[in-house]
Amino acid sequence: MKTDLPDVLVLGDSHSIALADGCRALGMRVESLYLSGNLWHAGRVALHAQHGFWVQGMPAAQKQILALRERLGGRSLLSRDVPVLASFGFHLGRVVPLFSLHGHMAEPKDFEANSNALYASQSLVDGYVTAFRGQHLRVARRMGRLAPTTFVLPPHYSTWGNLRHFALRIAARLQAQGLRVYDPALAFDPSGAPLEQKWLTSAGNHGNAEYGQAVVGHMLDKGLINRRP
Amino acid sequence: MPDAVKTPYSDLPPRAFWRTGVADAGIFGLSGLWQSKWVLPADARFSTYGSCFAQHISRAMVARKVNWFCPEPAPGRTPAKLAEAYNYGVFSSRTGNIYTAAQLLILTRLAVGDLAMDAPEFWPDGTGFRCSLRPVIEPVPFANAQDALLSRASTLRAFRRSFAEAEVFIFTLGLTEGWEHAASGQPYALCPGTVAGQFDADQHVFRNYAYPEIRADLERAFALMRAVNPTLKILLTVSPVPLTATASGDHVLVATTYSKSTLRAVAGDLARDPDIDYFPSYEIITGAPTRSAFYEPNLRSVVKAGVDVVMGHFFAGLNISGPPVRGAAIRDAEADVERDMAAEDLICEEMVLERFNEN
Repeated sequence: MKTDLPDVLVLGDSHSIALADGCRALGMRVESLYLSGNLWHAGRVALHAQHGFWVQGMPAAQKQILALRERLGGRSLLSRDVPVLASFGFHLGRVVPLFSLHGHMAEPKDFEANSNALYASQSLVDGYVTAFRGQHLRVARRMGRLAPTTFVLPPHYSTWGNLRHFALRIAARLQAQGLRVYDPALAFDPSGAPLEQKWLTSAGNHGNAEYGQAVVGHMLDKGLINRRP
Repeated sequence: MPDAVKTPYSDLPPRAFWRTGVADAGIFGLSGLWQSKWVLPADARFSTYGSCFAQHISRAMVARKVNWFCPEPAPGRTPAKLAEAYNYGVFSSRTGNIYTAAQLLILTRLAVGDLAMDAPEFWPDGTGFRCSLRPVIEPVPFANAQDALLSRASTLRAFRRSFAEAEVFIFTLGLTEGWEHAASGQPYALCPGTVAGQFDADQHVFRNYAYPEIRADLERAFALMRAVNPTLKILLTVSPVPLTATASGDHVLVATTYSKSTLRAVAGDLARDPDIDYFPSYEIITGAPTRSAFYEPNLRSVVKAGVDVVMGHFFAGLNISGPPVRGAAIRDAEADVERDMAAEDLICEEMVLERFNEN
């Protein structure tokens, strides 16, 4: 059976929606699987030998995965001939607020600017990342062996230093595992400033369709993803 | 027959006599060993520091739901093993063990700005650095000099809060012996080279601090604390844990007795101040009634049963019957964060569900 393979499979949490929209807006053939960040955070999304990914105890998500497999010509979601844009493993909204509960700051300038803050050393932050994202990093490493994968950092929407710090630390850990990681923030503002409101959804913590299109455009320009000939 | 002559001992209670107070009572019958000088508010905050025995006090306070003050907790939801590896929850802030009065003084001077934060040494270790004041506070060296300096500054902010915002500062005196930098006089937490750093006989000198120096250092440290918090009460104890080793030249048993006797004498004399008290944990563990039963076979570590007896006497003598001073209940910050996270989750879920419905 001949299958028209997509240019890219977008896989991840709610941040992947804007990426998939961006791909479509730029005329790319896209398949996607969006799963709630909560499921990823809780470690309920696991690698699966046959399907690529599987979600235990979630029939609706399982149905989605099986349907996607079907559209991929029976392939696993993770195969060498379907590039993946991944936006999981971060889920910062589930980690950073708790880390910050007692006033810990990971960024030196934030600690120095707030006389009530506590400082968390680099190795402590790494230990925290390992505790809460170690499983995701392991999944990402194995995933990277199965499919050409590019991890995309979540949108940099806040001035909250810990949020950006954790995103970059997780990204560094992914890179240290040999995975390709793309940080869209630098294309929007090389100085590292947060995104302007026009790129965000009304809730203010997700990129909108225009943001997704801009990100995908940057990635196409850099050759990080391609349209099939 | 003439009436029995009255002496100053005639009307003393049984606890004043060795036979009735100790020999007949036995280890578990000792009573009235300590009664706090102060009626403290019901919500009094207690900060705890000192040598390794001091960590038992914080644990017991937490277990008894007494208000142990910890201005440097681990980040929220840090797994217990990770928090332990980074020395959270041992003392009120992450000073590590404070064995000597000289260490307490330098930490206090740093905390009140009497000494520059970067004055005490950092020791290179591989590609990173160790803080000479608390060389093993983290399991690996700090990544760079800035990381090490900010971590020190963070702990000292919290250390300052632990005497600025507490009612009682509990300090367990541990050792008279320590090491200093020959030129600067900076005291070290540990002899350089034993666990971290490198020993240099030209730079690192042994000190066996004597009574006058220990007393002066403690008095200066407490004066600096009281300049920040004039109502602060100080509760002193002496660790019953013997020296692991002595560099004094004496036998370690003799050196231990000198060390503990000196500290006990300083503590007792300082406790003449109405705002300083002494709690006899040392006597409870080392006293004759125990026949050393509260030590592990190494005759050094204190067994849990001993700690329990010590803390039993502590809580029996503590008086926190005063009216609370902090009024309204503390808001549950963790519950607030959970609510915010749940609200954000909902946004994410809805975005995903919306798209799911399109398929």
